[in-house]
Amino acid sequence: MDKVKKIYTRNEFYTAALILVLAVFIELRSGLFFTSNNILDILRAMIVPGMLGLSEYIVMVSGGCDVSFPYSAALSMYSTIILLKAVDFMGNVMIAFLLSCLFGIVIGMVNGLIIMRYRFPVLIVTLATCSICQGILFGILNAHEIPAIPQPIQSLAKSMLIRTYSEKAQMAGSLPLVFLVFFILTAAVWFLMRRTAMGRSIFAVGGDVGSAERIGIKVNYVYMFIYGFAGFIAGLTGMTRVVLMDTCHPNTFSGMDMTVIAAVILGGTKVTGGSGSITGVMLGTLLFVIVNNSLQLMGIPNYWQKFFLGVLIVLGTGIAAFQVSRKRKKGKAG
Amino acid sequence: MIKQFKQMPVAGNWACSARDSVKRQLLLVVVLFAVMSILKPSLFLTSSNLNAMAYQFPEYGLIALGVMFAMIAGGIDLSLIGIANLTAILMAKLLILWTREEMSGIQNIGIFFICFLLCMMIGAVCGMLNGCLISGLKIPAMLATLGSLQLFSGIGMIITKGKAITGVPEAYVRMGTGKLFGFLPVPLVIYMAAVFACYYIMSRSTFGMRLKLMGTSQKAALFAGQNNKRTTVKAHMAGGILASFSGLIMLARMNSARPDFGSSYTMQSILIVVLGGVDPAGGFGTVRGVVLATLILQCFSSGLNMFPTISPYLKQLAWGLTLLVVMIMNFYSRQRKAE
Amino acid sequence: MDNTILSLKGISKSFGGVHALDRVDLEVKKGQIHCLMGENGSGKSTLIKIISGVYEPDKGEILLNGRKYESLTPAESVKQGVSIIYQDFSIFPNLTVAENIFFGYVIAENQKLTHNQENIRKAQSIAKEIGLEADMGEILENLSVAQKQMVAICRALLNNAKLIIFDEPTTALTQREVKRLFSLIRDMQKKGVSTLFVSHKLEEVFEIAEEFTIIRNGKKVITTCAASITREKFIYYMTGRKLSEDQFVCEEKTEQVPLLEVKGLSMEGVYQDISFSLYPGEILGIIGLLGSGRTELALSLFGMEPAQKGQIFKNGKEIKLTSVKQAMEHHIGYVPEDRLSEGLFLPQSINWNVGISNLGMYAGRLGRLLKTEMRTVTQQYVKSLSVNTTEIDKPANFLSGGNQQKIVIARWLSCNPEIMIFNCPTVGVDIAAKFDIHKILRTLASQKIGIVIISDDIPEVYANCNRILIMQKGQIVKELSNTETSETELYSLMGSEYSDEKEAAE
Repeated sequence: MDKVKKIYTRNEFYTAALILVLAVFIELRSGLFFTSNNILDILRAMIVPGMLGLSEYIVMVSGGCDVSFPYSAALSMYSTIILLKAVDFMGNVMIAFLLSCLFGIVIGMVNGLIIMRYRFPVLIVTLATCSICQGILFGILNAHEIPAIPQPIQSLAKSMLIRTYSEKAQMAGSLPLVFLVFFILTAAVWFLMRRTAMGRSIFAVGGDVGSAERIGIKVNYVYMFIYGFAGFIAGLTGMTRVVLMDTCHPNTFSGMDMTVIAAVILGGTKVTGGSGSITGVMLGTLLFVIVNNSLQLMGIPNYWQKFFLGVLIVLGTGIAAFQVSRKRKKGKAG
Repeated sequence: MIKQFKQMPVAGNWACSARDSVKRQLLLVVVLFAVMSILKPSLFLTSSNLNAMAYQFPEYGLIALGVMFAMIAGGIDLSLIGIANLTAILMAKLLILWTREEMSGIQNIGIFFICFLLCMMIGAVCGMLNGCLISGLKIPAMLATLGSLQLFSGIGMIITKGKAITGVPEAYVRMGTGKLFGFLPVPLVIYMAAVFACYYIMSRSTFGMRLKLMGTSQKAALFAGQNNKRTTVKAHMAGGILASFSGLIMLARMNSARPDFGSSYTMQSILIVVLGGVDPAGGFGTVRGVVLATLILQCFSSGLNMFPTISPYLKQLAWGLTLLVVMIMNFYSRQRKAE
Repeated sequence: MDNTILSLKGISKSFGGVHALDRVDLEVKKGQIHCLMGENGSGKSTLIKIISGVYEPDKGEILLNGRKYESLTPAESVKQGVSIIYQDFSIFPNLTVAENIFFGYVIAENQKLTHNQENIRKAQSIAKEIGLEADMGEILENLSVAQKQMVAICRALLNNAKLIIFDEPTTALTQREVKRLFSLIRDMQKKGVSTLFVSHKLEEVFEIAEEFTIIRNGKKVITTCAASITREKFIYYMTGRKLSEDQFVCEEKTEQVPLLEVKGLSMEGVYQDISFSLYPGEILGIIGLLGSGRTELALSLFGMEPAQKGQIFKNGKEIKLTSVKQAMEHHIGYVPEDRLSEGLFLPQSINWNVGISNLGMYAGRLGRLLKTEMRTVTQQYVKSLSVNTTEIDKPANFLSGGNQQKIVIARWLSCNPEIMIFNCPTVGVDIAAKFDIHKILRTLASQKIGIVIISDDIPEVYANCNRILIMQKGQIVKELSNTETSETELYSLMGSEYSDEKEAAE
């Protein structure tokens, strides 16, 4: 009984309910929601925002808000591709991923060093590094789209995990192999945040930095880990995006910061730090992807999209905030 | 019951360090200006360049002033560019709808004036919505304005069906890009009026004091009998009105309105406000600092434009670096002072 | 074998030329309950930080378990069995009870994985040992203050603490919880755990301490055992001054109409059917335990949390108090209990801190702020309340606790109050400043201002209030005049609700 009550009060519950209502509604209007190709499309569309959501989740649990990932991911992805192209790379595709992750980690460490040393507001520091990455990308590297990506990556882009054909929609659907990267990363982050001392330290730092320091958590080390890991995910996402699109476009992540942050928050992660779940992050991302992908299915013009996203964010955060204040009132009276 | 007071890492001596940073900024503006003038006197010191500068910075300068209000109140406002675009779109729609070729000049001015007032009201209403979300529903400012940014640009999208609106009456464009008394660009005049008004509000009025104290501690303000809801709403309304001015200037310059124009202004305005010495935790900041930071940015980017070999994107790199360097410099000067 | 666990010899520490500690000695024996006493700013917290290894002493040596250290690191201090229970407990509100208990242990042992059954079992058994009744999976936020403190104690014990330092542990506890804490400390003593109890409350120290050390201005004054010292001596050692208070005598009531009259005020689940009246020039005390509804009642009188039922009369006329604005219009002022977060805008100037509530007076045309008027008024009050500064542009966090409280009082005085409500006016204020504030209260009363003090500091209420109301579980159970009662009676009355409960249960 108690457990049931707890579920009701959680943000994840509302997000899940909303997804269900939306799915049924779209199915009723178009009859094309629960088709294999649509489901696979949604899963495929979840990969990139889902991975970025995980990195934002880790940062947000520690009490910060990272906005540098759209361009740190683009920069690590782009530098890797030009480097590989310069050496006419034909080796294992894992090297491409590793290289991109390495670039990501370096950028993340810069964030981490500044935040660790000076304890400036994370939003502003990452805003600055985002601007720097953008400057390097377009100013120094003169970035533009590279359609001809190295051969090993191209062949990975063509490998699929699942292929289906939906009779109802008369369309073929497929899920690329890199979905596994997303899947493994999700499992790894779950394990990190729930089961390791480092993960719990991140929660502890988000709960109360002063206390964390006093009981002997090496807070500086934790900060370096958080931002290094967030950078790692950004690099990984960059290369995944290249595989998914089969091309390398430096602007591919622009504007994603707002939606990713919003998805993480809709899933119940607190901006003030210290609380949030992976389930929530995935549900929030799913909700956004459905709204993004399925408006056409319902015959609503595309330009309504932003409006709906805005309403979703305001409603989602409003409900969460309302619940907190109601809980506080109840606590006082009882 | 005494809870141990957790000092914000950035609060405290912010006031004195802000005063220092104003001095530093003034120096920076002068040095930048001098360096650019010496390096490229034939390009930088020309009237056409100075003119171009005077037309450019009011757009984001106004938005930065709006962000300043929100940040001093202890929050942030990411939605101002959305408000600016929405007002630009509505202004364009209204002007196209109401003006006729055969109208006389006075009628035109009358209609323009009504449209102008309407747009200002729309800016105020949008700001009010932000304020209500933040102080009424208690949504963190960053989230509330992130959501309302999507909402405002979404409404703009629906109105324009995702396309740009063009064909604004020529009289409007001429007025918006013209010069007062033959030498003062109209956008600059609007900006200067806004700066004066903001300065009065922040440094000379009771509201400025209320705002800064509320930004320092919401709780203490409640116990001192302050109406925090009203103060928050007013601060965001001021931001909305400033953004609507910015939208009107943009409309005149571009001769068109689009819901996704100027998306880089959000980052840029936060950069300006922090460069200008406003405390990101709220409670401290000066109009002077924000104006100087705006000028620094404009000198810098105009200067860079003088060098055709340098990519304009390097500006972004330089801005990011400057923001970090200025924050770190402030950090050390404060540390020295504390000792 | 040597039976001292901690011994400090000739510890000196200065910050930028100011001596925070000057040749301080301190010795704690195994299984001893030792109290460290001193006013705010006497150097207590610096000393704690040296023992915990956060600060390095400039001179002197530290002996822990017989080992000599020139300086300690926090990790070494923990390893030697020193644990500190901070005033805010240093716990994580967002983690579970079990995690909070074993997290320090996990960190100290450098375990990489957590949440294993072994750790949870350990946490559970420790909690059981000291009688913490809480679900191990509960999020810590939802616990009461006393339970949180026990979680912190559990954590210390799990870390194999041999010496536990309590930093002002009773500030947020009710009398009954303090009793329980003391019996817990005695239990731990039987198991050989030493306690260093840091406090400035006399009553507690006399009850719990076997031996105590008093420091003043960074110097050790005396180390002695509890039995051999009187209260007056004690105050003298703490403050370096001889201070005592006469009882407050209210001037004869000349008016028949009360300044403030409350009839049947109720708020569901918090307080019920509160009725009392306050005459001009009176100081009325309302005492009750934490959670008795005293703070909520005060907030209702200030319009912040309006009452649901009942009537409030001022000078015989019924008034509504549903917002702070209304309360201020009726000239009611409120000095909150937590001056750091509720009372003051710490980094802002003294001038603004005083002027804020009276901004309507300083507003010219177009909302212009009349700066000179505001400064003049502030300066006048800073002088008349003898605040220890003349620079009113300095931020309020430069002031000591007592002077900060005077700033909050000055704020309301500038609004011409007729009724002033003080919620625990002298918490965390040193004794000298406490008496200063009491003097201010009496001066205000002589100016026909009606004063309500809400507190659980019985000596304060006894000495300064002419009438005292006792609040229990949201109701006023008794009204006494200060001439017909005693401190001991008040103590027993305030705590009596629990003995009643016991009788009823039997």
